[in-house]
Amino acid sequence: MKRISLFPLALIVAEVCLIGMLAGFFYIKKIPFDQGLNLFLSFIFNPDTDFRLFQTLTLRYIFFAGMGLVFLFILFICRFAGKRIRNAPEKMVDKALMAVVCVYLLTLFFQTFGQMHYLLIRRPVFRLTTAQKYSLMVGPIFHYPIMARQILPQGRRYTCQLMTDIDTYRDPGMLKHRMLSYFLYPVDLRQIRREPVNCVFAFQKEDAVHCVPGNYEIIKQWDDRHLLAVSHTLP
Amino acid sequence: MTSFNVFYSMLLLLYCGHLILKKAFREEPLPWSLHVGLAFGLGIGILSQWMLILGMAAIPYNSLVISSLFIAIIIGLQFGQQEREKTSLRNSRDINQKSRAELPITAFLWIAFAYVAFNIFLVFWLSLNIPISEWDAFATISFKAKVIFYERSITYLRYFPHASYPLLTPFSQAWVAFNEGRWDDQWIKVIFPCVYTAFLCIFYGFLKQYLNLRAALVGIVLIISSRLFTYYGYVAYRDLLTAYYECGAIILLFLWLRQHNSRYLFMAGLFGGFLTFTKVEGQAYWGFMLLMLAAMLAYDKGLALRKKVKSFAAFALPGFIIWLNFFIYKISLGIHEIHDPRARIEIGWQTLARLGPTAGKILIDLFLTDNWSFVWLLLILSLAGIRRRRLRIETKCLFLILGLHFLWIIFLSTCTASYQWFGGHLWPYGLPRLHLHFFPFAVALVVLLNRRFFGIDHSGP
Repeated sequence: MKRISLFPLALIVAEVCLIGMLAGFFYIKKIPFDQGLNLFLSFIFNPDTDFRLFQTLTLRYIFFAGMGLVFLFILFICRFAGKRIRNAPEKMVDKALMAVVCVYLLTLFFQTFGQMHYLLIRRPVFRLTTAQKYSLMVGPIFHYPIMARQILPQGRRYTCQLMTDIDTYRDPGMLKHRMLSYFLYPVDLRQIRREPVNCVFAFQKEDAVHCVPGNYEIIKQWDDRHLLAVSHTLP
Repeated sequence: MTSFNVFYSMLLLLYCGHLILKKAFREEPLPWSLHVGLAFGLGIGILSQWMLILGMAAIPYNSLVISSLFIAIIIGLQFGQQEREKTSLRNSRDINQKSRAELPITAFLWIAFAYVAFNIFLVFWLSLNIPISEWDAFATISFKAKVIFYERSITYLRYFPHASYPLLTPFSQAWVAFNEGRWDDQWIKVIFPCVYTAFLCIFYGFLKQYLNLRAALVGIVLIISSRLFTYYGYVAYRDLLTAYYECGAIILLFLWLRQHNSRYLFMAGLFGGFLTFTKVEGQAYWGFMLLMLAAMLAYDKGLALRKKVKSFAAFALPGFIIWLNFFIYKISLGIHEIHDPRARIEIGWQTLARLGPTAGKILIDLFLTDNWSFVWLLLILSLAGIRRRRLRIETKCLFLILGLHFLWIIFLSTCTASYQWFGGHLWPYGLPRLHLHFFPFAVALVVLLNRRFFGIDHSGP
């Protein structure tokens, strides 16, 4: 029972330390509190990324590891003061486990708070249609393929040649190419059907009009860099 | 109407899996959580194999053709089971009453349940509100599903850059689209939160079976607090499904170890087979399971050699047949993964130098990112004093699987052309995904090794 009674005490101490450290950090960095809070919550939960925020995540981990040490120290003082050293190493492991669990529970609390915060601030975005969401996320990479699909005359299968100045062999151009292919399908941009090309799709191509082969008819030109052309001679 | 069709497509898989499990384990029914969790995976696995067979036979896909098998299974099993219904229901009611009487309702349990429920809600919400937006989904997984949906066949998949990749995930996404009658970039992701929930069910069921309710809830909380695990619950990648099938197969193997009912082995074999059809690495993981079962059988002195051979075959055969089916498909089209440049073997003294950076990246990912919460740190602390304890065979098996997975990563990094994904500059996009496949075993070990905290007698973890 005695062991359990220390648990909430240590938790409260840790929370006070955490808030204190956070406030100190914001004060030193001269960050306004509301901005600081948003920054902190984005450390805790950011569903748009998984493992790309290494610097901040490492900092965060160090932050919590520091908390863990403070915690461990408190527990050590509470439990081992005046006791024999002989039993200490064994109990130390249990205490360390408890300390990590307490810090872990704190992170869970903040993580859940961050998740709720995320749902609340993104609520307007979630109400949009899929097309509106893609417009926000990728913009023209979504718009042009969708418009092209709608413009192409029905009753034919299309295999498209992409004309672009983007380097499609390395990122971010490679991803753009994959997205265009995905959004454009069933118009086959990656030529996976191995059918003859009967359509040209220019995306981010300077002076696109002059690159269209002679036997193709431009059926839509959005601007100098974006157009759609089809061949009437090929099947 | 859309949501009804999507709901129907998921329910059909679940119900079909439920009936098969009910038939298979009619003498010893599984706990409800394991039953529900496994039923869904079984449904998806059967769906994927059926779609592969239809595709190989060049039968055009539509929702009626695909669901015909499920309807046949449901009609066959539903009518066959009616006579037994009364007795099994009574038995299950007795079990429920017993477990309810033992259930200690505490604040901790309510908070844990609320936390789990919130996370399941979050994963469903994010999955069904964020459309497809991941690299691999655009390039292969969902794109393949889109091609299957529009072409109603798998004819053109051979021309994809990664044509040899297993098709379970694209098939399941295409199945949702067929039922919906159109391609929707949000609804096709419904499969992932469903698998996430099914995974939590089987993991909970396993820990509750082995320890108690409190330990099971702690295990679930540990697993969902990992950000990467949650992340893969709402993105269209194959990794959560891989972890699910691997975990499901190993849990079934452990259940067999307790009860020596060969149906567990057969079911584990099926899950192992579905694993090989989920991700290329699944073939290696299935090999690990074969190795683990061989070790289990060698450890069991009470079992006759003939029985051991039979048991091994009961596990290996279903998986082998599923693997062979896809292997024949790949060979017939000349799209085997040995043609993939990343699978090229590179052995030499120079490649050994990759060992250091790989080990470093593994440590960074496990301990210095927020991908895994505090699980690996807890595991390290739980190892203290392990030499003085008598470990149960399940714990040893989990250590074996964990070790094999780490060796597998080191092998991939040092002996193949995939180094950049595990020790090179692209490691953030490759390594954590491999860690995700065996992360649940680390959580299981943390809970099993600390059973003393859950009020369970210390008769060895």
